[in-house]
Amino acid sequence: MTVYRGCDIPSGYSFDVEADLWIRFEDGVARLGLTDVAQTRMGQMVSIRFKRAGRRVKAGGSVATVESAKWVGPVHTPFAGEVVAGNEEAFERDILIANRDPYGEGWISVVRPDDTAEITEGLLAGEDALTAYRERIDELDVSCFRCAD
Amino acid sequence: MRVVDFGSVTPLRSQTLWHATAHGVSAGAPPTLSFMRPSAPYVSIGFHTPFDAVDHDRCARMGIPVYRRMVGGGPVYLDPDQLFFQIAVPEAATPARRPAAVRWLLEPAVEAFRAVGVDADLDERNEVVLGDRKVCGHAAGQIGTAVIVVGNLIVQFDHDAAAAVVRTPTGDAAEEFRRLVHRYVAPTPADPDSFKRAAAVSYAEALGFRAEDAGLTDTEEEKLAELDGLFVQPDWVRDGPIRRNGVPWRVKVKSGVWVHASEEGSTRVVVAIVDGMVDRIHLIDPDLDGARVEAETLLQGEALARAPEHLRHFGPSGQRLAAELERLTGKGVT
Repeated sequence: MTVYRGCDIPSGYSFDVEADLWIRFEDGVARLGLTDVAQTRMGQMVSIRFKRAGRRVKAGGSVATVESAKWVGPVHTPFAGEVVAGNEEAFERDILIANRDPYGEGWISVVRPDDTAEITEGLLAGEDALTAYRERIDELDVSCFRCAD
Repeated sequence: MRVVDFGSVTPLRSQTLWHATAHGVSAGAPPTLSFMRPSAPYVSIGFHTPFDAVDHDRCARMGIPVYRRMVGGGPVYLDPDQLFFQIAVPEAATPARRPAAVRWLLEPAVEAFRAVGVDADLDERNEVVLGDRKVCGHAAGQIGTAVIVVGNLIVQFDHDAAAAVVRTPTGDAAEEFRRLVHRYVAPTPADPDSFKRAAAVSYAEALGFRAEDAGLTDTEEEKLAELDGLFVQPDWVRDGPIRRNGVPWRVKVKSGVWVHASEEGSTRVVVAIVDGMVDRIHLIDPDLDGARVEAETLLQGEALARAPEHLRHFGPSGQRLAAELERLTGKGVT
């Protein structure tokens, strides 16, 4: 785990840095979630709607919408595929779960990509991800923080 | 910066027009400030508002349609006495944090209010206020790569109609909501044309552009036709989040001002909250007997966090009411 300006950038994940998304590949599916930068930019979540399991999504399409500060915005997938699951149960228990634990319990959706060759296109991991995310954090001029209980 | 004054339009178009301009900005049109007034009353619900947050039977009796918008916030009542403005800009041009972006896009509106003689402020919760009263409802969202913030100049306000269209679980909750809407939402009877001119100046200055009158692009016209169809589909209006069983009812009047209600068996609590304090509370429990007035009076003006502690002094009924109060205000009270 690397922390830069308070923002966690964990190892073992791939990142769509421009979209502030993390992706973890698991047996032919990809689990997506908001990064620490994303949850900080968003502020406290008040609501979320998931695209239902079985629905198709285009690359750049939305797997969920989140609301904070009267602002509704999409959570994009970087690749086309089929939605396998949304994390409804965790958000029903605690709507702030992505604010508290963005890389763990606060994941958003699981997508089965159409084309496994396509899915790593544009994604960064390891040192490349760290470098790119440090630059983005500086560019955005954000410092991250998490919700307290 | 494009300035588009749509004038008086149908309720449906007063929603779909600005969604179309947001799509246009996302597709490369310049930042756009738009205005319109609905030709008749209607209700707009936020993208995440549960369908049953609105009293649809009452809306039908009042003859007013309900539309779901693609931005945030709760159910709102709109009518021809309100001028609506929308500012759409590319997401990349906005501050990184959402609350800061919303603030950045509301500050020019506050300047416009001041220019027409309304001494409005933007409070720390991004509410446009005159004193402690909200004078502009707002909502925000990202549509494609455009960020849009919408708001209104409330020339006159039908407080009773605005309160009546929201579904309330009990008569005392309805009355508390109506009371707080009257208390905390204020019209500002400024000249709408002057406001539009002032807003065009303040937004152009803030965004660093020159304001130019313009209309919709061909792409936006196409999108408008598509949105006109989408917004009247029953599934579009109905397909919000489900209100989960057992989750207490609540409604926001403005930031920090809420009414919460819940009922468990024969125990019922309705509480009006203003900035973390009990503004008024209604306690129903069969065993509270003659202590009801005493308990309600004791809690009025008390910090919400301390109210359950006080209630527990009222025997078993007080224990039940305290538990219910903790349940209904447990999370998400701001």
